[in-house]
Amino acid sequence: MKKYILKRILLALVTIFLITTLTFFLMYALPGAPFLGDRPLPDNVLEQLNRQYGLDKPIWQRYLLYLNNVFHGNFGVSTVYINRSVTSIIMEAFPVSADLGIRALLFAIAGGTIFGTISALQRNKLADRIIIIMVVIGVSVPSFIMGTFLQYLLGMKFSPWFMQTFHTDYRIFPIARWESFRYTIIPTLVLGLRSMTSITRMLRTSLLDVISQDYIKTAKAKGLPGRVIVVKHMLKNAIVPVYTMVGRMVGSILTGSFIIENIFSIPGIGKYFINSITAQDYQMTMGLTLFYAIFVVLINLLVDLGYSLIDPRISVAKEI
Amino acid sequence: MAQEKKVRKEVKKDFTVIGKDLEANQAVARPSLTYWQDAWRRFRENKLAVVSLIFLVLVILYSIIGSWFFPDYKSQSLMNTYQPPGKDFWFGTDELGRDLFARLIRGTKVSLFIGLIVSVINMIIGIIFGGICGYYGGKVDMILMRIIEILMVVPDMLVMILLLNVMRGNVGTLIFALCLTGWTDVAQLVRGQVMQLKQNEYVLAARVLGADSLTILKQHLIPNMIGPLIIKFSMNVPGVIFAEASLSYLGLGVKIPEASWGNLAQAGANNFPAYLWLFFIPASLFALTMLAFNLIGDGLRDALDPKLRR
Repeated sequence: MKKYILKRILLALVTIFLITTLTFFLMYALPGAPFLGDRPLPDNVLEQLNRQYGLDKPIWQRYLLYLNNVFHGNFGVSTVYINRSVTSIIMEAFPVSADLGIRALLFAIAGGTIFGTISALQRNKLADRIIIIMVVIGVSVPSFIMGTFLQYLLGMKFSPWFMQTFHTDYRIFPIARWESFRYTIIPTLVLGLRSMTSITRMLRTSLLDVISQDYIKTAKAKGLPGRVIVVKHMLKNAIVPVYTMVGRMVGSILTGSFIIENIFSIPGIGKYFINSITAQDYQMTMGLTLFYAIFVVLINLLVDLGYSLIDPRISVAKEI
Repeated sequence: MAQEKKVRKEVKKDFTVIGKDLEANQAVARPSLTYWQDAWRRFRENKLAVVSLIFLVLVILYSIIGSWFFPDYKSQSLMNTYQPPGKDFWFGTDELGRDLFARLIRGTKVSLFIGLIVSVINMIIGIIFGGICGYYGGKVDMILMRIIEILMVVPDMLVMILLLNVMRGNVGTLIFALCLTGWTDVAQLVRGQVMQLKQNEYVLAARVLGADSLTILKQHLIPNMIGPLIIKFSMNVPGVIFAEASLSYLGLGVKIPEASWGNLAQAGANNFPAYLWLFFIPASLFALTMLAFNLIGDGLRDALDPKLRR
């Protein structure tokens, strides 16, 4: 057990180290120099600038400096937003992104658990068929197409008559911004949809495995009520392999949120991210990517450790 | 004893011996099916998968034949910007007057090409990597698996963004970036399969009989793995096309004037909702083809992996 935890932590640290190194050298390999402008700067000014940003030092010193900066949570300075550090932008925009991400994750887990259970219990019946079709559609439509489409359908076209009694132009689901609960519904749905479908799919197969086990037969023979069997015997055993995916899901929700935030004009990191790519603000793109990569690695580590504590089967299996 | 004889006599009354015909006993009632024939038979039973396959073939034909008749997807015509679908422009034109019909043909071609080529490369790298891990095991396996684990923890999208941010370029660099992370799943699958298969008695028997590693690989391991690999491949292609589309949305995918489903749908989304056709036409073709890929994948899984069916 201890060995397993140690191994996970070590692996996470190595991963973070490697991705930081990769980022540094990619940035180093970028074409051009940082202070090339329309007008060439005088030599002494250039020297001064280079010294200020530590660019006059040899590469290994700059590398160590970079590692040290990242270790202290400093991900560089934006070259487009003058004098704004990547960290300050993260501080400002990350809470919104995290809010959206957590909502989407909760929606995915809750929806996936409910639909997966129904689908497995009603196997090959109508409900199962409908859920499977929903899953395939969810997997097949990219989020930006789904987002734009729902924005049009629910945000612009959906205005039922009873709502128009309040206000002729009243919309239940606004098409953009991030203000009150009803603003969050469509973005959350779209962002969580893909993860929800994969949870549904996995839980269904996992449950079908469990249903044919002997202990389910025993539980039925004991005369336990159906609800108890489903929750305590089936779900409890089937859900562990599914929820280990949650760590990986955080990654896909994070990268998905870049796109969703842009569609719905949500003031999260996504806006800065896409702006930085189009404005060729390399420092910013790299800083944000690195921040997210480290974040995902740490979340994965926590998820892994959490499961090994909760489920004795995992740690035992990994020891062997 | 006596009673048994009595019973036999009773039974004999009801049955007559029709004689033994050895020839007839040996005859084959119906031709035995090979693995592939059996799989094809099962695949055909899945109506959705067959319809999807036909649809996919039509889409491929559309992109190949279409590009002979509508090769011009680049030229702009500022007199004809934002033309709605009609007689002159079947699918309308975009903000620079480019014909959407021709662009969609090109985009289909580019997206399918990227999807196929990246998946093939992923399969090759994954098979080699996973094969080595699974076959040799031990230290080699441990080191290579740690590399894979590191690659898997960081989301593919982030690695691709990091790379493409620096190596902005053409379709070639995009393919490189997509290949960099996609093979890890395949490697894990192959590794697991090889580890499981090499424990089987027939592999042991072959080894005892003096077969070398290559023969065992060719005769026993690859034929047994081909089913799961085909399934993986059919799921990998839409995944790659998907990733390209997301990168296009972020501005790192295929660059205009080159076309792909991703950047067509993205351009449509930017002009949304003023010019609906620019979004709905490419997006529908994209989504329907993805749907077809997924349904074919499901069909193949049911057909090729009898263990999975219950």
